[in-house]
Amino acid sequence: MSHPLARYRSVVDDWPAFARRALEPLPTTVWTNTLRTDQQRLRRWLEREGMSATPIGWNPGALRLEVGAVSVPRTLAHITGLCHIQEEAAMTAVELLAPEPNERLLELCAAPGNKSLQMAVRIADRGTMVAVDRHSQRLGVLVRNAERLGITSCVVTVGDAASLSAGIGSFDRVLADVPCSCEGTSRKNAAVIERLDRRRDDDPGWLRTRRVQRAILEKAVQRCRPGGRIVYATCTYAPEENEAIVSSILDAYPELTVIPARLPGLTTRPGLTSWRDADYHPAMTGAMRLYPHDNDTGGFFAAVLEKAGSNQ
Amino acid sequence: MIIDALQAADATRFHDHLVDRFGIPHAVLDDFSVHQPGRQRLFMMRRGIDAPMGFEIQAIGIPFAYTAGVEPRLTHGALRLLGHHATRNVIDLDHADDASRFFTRDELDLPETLRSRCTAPGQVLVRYDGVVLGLARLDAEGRLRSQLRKEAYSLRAGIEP
Repeated sequence: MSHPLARYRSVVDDWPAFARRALEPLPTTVWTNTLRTDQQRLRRWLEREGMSATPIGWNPGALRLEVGAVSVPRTLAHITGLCHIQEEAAMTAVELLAPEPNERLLELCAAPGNKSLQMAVRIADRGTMVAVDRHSQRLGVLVRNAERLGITSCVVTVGDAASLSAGIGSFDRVLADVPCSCEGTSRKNAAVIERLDRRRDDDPGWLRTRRVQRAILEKAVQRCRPGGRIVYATCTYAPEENEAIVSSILDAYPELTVIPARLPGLTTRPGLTSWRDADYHPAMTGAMRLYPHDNDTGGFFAAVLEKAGSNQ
Repeated sequence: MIIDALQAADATRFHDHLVDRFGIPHAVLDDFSVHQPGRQRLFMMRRGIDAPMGFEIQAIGIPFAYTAGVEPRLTHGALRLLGHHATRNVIDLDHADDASRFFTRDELDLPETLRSRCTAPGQVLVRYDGVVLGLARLDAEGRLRSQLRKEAYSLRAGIEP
């Protein structure tokens, strides 16, 4: 029986390591709520409850946990809002977006809101963090976590990211963390693998997903002010959902420039410039592919775009 | 709800309570504005938020206080946010086990030394290692009863809320 991710064998340098790691359980990781504490105190609190906490080198404040008898959500550290659980790969998008205090920020497809919360903490809760998603119920998770973490700068908005009206205004930084085939979450979600087994390249649902992804990225570009920054992110390996979408937008919006998506201390792979019969924009080498065997994370893709102009 | 303009709510009695009971400075509270999107709760948000108008908003900021009741009732979220500024009617627990027991709503008998900043029986803020755990009620005999809401208690105790 072939590996469910075998279609990527030709673009992964160490296929046996990738194939093995992509199906192993994922480590638990958290980031420190620096509005409330520092990494040292968080470690002390977690270790008191039987957890071994190791700093994640590329991301100050993030910890990888060896979970003991108590699950993380039941620890005092979590209940009192000292930390938030988020997969390490998913933390990269906000680091690449690099928001700063007093900026106006937008996350499209925000639910359940982990990245919006991460952005709000990153700006020290000073500024405006607008989180948009169509799923009102899933946004409720964001609201509850904002209360637990003490984040007061979030505006939680129900809406369709792909048809967001101009009335929402413009933003210094926009994160488009689009719905995708989620192949990179195979380490925590076995159902993804089962879906992959059934998927065909011309699957109408998959084609529709890709149209939506492009529409959302286009809205992100339109809502970003000149001089601002956009991060397009997925948790999938499929070039059709990654490089193809970003390339198409780069062709349509010449005011965009790709900024190298690199995080010191994190092993990443450049984006692809071709896949099967398709050629992509040469600037896609500046995008980031994150493979599970490189850093013991989930899989991820991100591209950082800057829009020409001055934001003054 | 569709917000066309954010109307500031009158939060005077809650602010007075935070200042009078816990000694939280007015300057800290001035950093936040309070609005009332529904009938039951006030929300607090960082002053200067540039919220989009005319959109369906699920929440801005975090719940601040409940409007019902005679005694001002603040949310645990608000108290955890503001409580490290408290200077009176605050208990700083000195043992991790006591912090843990606070979350399982065990009654704690507090020595006089831990009650030195309490002006009168009633509502107190409980902290441990500089972190606000939540609200409790202290009686005249020094017994501390957690007022943690059911969800937090249930989560800690490992039972369904």
